[in-house]
Amino acid sequence: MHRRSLSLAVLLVAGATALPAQQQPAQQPPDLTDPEVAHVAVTANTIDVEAARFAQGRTTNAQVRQFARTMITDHTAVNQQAAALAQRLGVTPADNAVSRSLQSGAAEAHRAQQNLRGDAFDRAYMDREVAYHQAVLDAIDHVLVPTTENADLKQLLQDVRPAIAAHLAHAQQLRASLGNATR
Amino acid sequence: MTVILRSGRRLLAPALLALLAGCHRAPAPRTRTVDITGLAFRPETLRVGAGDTVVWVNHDLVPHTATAPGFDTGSLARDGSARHVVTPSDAGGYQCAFHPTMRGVLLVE
Repeated sequence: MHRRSLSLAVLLVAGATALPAQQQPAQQPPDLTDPEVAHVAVTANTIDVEAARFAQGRTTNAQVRQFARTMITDHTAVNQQAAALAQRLGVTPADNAVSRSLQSGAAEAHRAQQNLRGDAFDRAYMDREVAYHQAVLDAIDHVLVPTTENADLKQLLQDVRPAIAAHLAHAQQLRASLGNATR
Repeated sequence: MTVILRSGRRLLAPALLALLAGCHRAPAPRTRTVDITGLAFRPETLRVGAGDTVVWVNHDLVPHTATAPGFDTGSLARDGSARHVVTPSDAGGYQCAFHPTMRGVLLVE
């Protein structure tokens, strides 16, 4: 059954949402099917593109806007590659609990950011981007790559990893430069 | 003026000067490649001569640039490339406009 094996995957990505992180004992690599892996990859990219578009319309900080532009450019490019690969392999992305967890986390983050302006918005957006990219990196390493069977799909995930790591580093640097909110 | 070589061959001075000048011709310009892979410029530091051509080739899934005050490749998609003829003022650092953690250096000789 997938239920137990998906729980680790869900909790890894749920770490990027308002849900508290939880300690998990070491587990066997989760058993997502390749169509489910493809769906998670496309979902993860789409979420960050949408968050970046919202940020572009809301932020007045040039560096945050540049970061958001890079998120749109990069995640769109990766999704194009993923879609082309899925078509070539005859894989139809399949919805799954990990994708749904990502989407609910994104909706929660959007609700939290919606009424924020100025520095408060920038900090919230960048906090979210740091947590999100860390969670995606963890999911690539501990869930997606280990569970993928198709060699080309696995290679795509491995090729994407450096970009996610660079996004995380960029987000961390930018977040640090924004300082702490005064309460 | 005539110069007599040890072999007995005689060279007129202008010919001797031309021979010596040929030994000090500037090297032909070279083309050097910087591969962009794993969100890094490889090699990170490139030693080139003024007049050499640097070619940046993007092997990554995501687009990149090589941008400095004196040159800008523009956005390079996957498998895209751009070239630039190096001048002495290009010595120094450059970076990707999309990924500020990506940095390279040109050492111009």
